[in-house]
Amino acid sequence: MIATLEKKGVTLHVRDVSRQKLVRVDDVPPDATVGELIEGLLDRMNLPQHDADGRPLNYHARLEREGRHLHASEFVNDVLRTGDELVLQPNIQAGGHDVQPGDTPVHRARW
Amino acid sequence: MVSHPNRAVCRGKPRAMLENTVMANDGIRYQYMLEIHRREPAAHLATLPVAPDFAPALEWATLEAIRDDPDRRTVLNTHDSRIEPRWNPQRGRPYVSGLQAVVVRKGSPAVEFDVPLSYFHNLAKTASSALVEAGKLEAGEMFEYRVLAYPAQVEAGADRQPRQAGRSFRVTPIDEALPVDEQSLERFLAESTRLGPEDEDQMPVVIPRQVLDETADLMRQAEATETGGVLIGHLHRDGDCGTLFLEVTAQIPARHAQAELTRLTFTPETWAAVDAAIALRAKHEMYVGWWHTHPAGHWCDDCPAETRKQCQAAGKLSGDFFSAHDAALHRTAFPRAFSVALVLSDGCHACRDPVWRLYGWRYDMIWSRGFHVLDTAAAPVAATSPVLRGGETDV
Repeated sequence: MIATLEKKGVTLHVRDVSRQKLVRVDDVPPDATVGELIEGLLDRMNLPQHDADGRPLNYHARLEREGRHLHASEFVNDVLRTGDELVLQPNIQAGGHDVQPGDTPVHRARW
Repeated sequence: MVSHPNRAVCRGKPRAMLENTVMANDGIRYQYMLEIHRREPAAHLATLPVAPDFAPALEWATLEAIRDDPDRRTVLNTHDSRIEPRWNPQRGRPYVSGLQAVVVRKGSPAVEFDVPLSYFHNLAKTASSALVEAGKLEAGEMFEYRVLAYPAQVEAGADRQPRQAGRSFRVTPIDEALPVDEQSLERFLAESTRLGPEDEDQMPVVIPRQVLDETADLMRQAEATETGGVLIGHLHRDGDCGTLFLEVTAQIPARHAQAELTRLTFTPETWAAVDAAIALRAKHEMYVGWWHTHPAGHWCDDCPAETRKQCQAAGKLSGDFFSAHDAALHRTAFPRAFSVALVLSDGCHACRDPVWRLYGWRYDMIWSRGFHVLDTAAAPVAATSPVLRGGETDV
């Protein structure tokens, strides 16, 4: 008789891109995708989810053990092991393309 | 009003700060609202809920709480800190006259820092755009706003452990002290030239002239596209007075970035390349900021002379500013309050020489700030014009 063992959740360490914020993540479901993992981490790591135009920010998870960015569709069960460390790295724009003085009303705090 | 005492680089004792006995994050949160009024004729236009991003204010307050305390580890996590409203003494609740960042410290009394009401300026600006679209305000019209706060009781920590159906997991912040070594600030300053506005209340930042020269060279090479990179370095604590200061040691060019005339995209491959460079240097450096260019000298390459004149008259030809996109990148990738952003710009007509401007967190927002150029040679060109704060153009 063969017993089916339920695979336990994975425990990870995750850093922000500066590597100055570190969290431990316990009980990551093995059948979750990397994209779901990232989505669930952003709020809890206080990481912005939108850019200056209100568009969703795209983060990639870099797996330190393999030195590669994981694809959002990969499954935790397939690519991550307990003890792994991920770094969340955004695709984000800077620049002077939005500066047009006078396009909004002038405002003051009032007391 | 906000009161932030001026202070010297070194002081005999920590700066004055309010202390109380708040020992825990009690879970009380507030829903903030903006009450928007037309100035003339006076009229209430709308009361709108807003969701301020308090992370920068908490980061700044957390750094301030340890900056001058040599006995305190440089743990900058903010999960035990919170923002509370200060009630308007004339109008009373729910009207707010300012905010307090309360930093809870294990084994010590909490410390509080004032946060100005200007924290809501960008939210008011965003709200005003909706009112313009709705026809309640004209573009450019003056309006005023009041800030209101209503208690929104939630369970302690509930906002940090949201559950997604079928995809729940636990997230626990880890208190990790950043590396800080003891150095003499006086020695650094003796070999440096100050650049930019002088403000003794700011944490000193030292940048080697070589780094500025490299950024200028890369700007010239990039010609009509933006370019940039990551600033790396160390946090030091002065051996005499115990205050923290920042040393930039190098810049790592942003490889694999997508560069255009008016934008620069840092990709995941960019960050990975920076990490690899830091590892290769093996000097235990960390991210301390970033730099990028505004090649304003090329913005009007294709414009006719008449258009250039109009733009110049409207003050649009300078690249000496920090845009909302710049602020968003800084908030996303460099959230720690000691992080800085260096912008190189030039002008369309008279001046093609690069101008350096450093920005950093102050109190709660990103402001232009001074720094020290580590070199005995002549200082680079200093920006002298008024500066725009990230995302704001008209406050």
